[in-house]
Amino acid sequence: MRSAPLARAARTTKGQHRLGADGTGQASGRRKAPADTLPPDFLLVVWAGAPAGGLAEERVPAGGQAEGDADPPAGWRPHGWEETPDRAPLRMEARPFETITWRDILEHVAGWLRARLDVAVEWMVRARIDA
Amino acid sequence: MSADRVRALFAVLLLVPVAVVVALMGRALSAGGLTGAEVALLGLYGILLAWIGSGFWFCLFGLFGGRGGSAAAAAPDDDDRFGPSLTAIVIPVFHEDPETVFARIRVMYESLERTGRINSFEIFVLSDSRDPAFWREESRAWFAACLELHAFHRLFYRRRADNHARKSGNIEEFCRNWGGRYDYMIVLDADSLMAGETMVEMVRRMEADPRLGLLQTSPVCVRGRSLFARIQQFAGSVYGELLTRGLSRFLGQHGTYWGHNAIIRMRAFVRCCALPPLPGREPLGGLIMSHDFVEAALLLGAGWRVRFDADLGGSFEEGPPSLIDHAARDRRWCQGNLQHGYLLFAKGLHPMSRLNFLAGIMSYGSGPLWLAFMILALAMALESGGADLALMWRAERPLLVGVLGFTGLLLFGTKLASLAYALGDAHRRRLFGGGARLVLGVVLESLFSILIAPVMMALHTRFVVAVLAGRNSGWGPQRRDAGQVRWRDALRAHGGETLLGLCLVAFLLAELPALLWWMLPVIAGLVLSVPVSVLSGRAGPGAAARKLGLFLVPAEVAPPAELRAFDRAMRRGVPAPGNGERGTHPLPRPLHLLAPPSLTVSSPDRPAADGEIPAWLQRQRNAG
Repeated sequence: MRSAPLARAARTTKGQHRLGADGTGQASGRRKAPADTLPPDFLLVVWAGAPAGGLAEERVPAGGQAEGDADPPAGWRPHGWEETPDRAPLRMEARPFETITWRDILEHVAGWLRARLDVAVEWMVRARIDA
Repeated sequence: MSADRVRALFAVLLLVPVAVVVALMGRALSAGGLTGAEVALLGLYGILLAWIGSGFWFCLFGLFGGRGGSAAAAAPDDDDRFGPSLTAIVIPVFHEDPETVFARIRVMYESLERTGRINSFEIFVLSDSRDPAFWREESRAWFAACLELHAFHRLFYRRRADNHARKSGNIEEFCRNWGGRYDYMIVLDADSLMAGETMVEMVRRMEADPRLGLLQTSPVCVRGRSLFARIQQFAGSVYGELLTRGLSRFLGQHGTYWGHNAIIRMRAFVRCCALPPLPGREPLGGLIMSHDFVEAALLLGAGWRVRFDADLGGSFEEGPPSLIDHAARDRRWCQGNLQHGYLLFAKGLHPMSRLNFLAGIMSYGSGPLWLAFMILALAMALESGGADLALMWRAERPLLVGVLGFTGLLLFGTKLASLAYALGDAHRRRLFGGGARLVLGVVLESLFSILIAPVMMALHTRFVVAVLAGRNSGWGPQRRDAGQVRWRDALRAHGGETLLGLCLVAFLLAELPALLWWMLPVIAGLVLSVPVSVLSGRAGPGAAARKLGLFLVPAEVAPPAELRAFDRAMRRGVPAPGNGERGTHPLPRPLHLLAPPSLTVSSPDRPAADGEIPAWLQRQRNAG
């Protein structure tokens, strides 16, 4: 069973889920994370056991994690995520490739010929006016 | 000269001589009327001549076109042009040696610190490793690096539970979930090394041109230990400078992307570069394997610029250590490039993108074309009953000599021009170990490339046939270190080529003995493929060559600070955290608690009753 503080950290603010089919898109502003705040959320490494040395002095028992309690709930963010809105997920939409058809080629050629014809007509009109 | 004019000039210089030569050959062969086989032969000859000629003309454009570089590049140390942007350096890994990966990261981190711009960069190791042993070691190495560099807030590690779409999916997942924080993304491979100054300059150039979507550097192969790797990196260093300069001038603002050692504008990438699967089944349909070319094409199609800046130094990579590893990588790339055949006819792509796709296809398609050319020529020789070559070809001897001479010029002109360029400056000569060693190196490299060319021809033919027959290559981890290439592995890999060479010898002896000497380079390469592969893939011959001062490259003679630091780190061995530096106990195996919902939490090692968390998390919890 997770400790209460860790469980609280494992839930988003009530009702808010940052991920979903309707992603929020790119945030307009950005704030830099100060150096001593939580790093991006995608890895928290919890070390089992206690090595000697300086780091061990900072370690605090967290209560561990239960067997089988493997997946965080959907939309989970660690504590502090909501304070950095620039981390909103972006939408990347793949669009299937369309193949050029004969119709496309004919339209392209027709457009090119039309443009050349316009240039030729304009030239002829100008020549007649000059004459 | 603008890129359009460069391309027009290139097209004229390439195609006109080829057309003239093919026309002359056609006239000589048409004395008795052109047969279907002769028409096919002329067609193949023209295509192959144009293909090898392109490298020659790129080299000359590089020689006479100046250093190039970006006209929009910011001035060095132009602080005003380096705005408050944030760049993510992403390093996708898949079963790579974690200690080596993080040793490179340490070097790059410290190099960035020396630029004073470290606050503008954050580094991500994006792991797709499936094996828990790799995963654990990656986390340990990450943790140790963060401790050593005090970089918990700047160096991050993420392992994907589902490695859908492999590398492109890995990066896409990063962009989707965390890309909003970053203006740019520098993509590196596990074996990439970049100088801090180079990364800073890349960001400056992106900021100097708001329409620039992607900037590709020209990574230099370094740290080759086997003879094969040393020869490849020597060839890259000697011939690469002029070739890449010429290519850069030719591509202009319509370049391509090689998948690493490049910087990408995050906004452009997110909007344009989500990759759909191709229609049809694998290997030609489904997941796009060579995603880099396609991502560049999508950027160009959306109006972004894609530039290849050959003048940017400080960008390094490591090549495959043996011919077998090189072939394994080629098998994957062949499949990826052949997939681009569908995209040649896709809507919305720039013509230069289609040309890049075609060039990628020809990189492997030229192998079967060359084989077909040889088979046709031998068949025609057999039909004519053959005595001497001129008689067999029913052509005039001076013309034949001229054609062969022109072909030889296109084949070896790149090497000669690059050699002359390197010899022409005392500093450059010194960087290759001196003029005599440079010349000897080029001669030996040329002999080696003649030996392996028919092997690559046969391999590429095999790859193309396999892909067209529906066989998928897969994407296994790449071997990077020189080791022992075993004789049985080489026999398994090159047995087909050896057999082909022996059959060719038998055929020529029986039917066309006069052609035996003409075909000797091809025969030697095929028959000797197994011993060449074994001996060139071992570190011993490479070390011997180095001791003799052969195949020296500038990165060895005058190594930059980053390479020296990395070499020192590898010689010293990366200190295991807790071994004498942070106490006496080794770090325990981690329980991973992975945060975003797109990743699953997994715990290969269950914790003791009381887990522990770092102090910064505890502070956050208390503040909440």
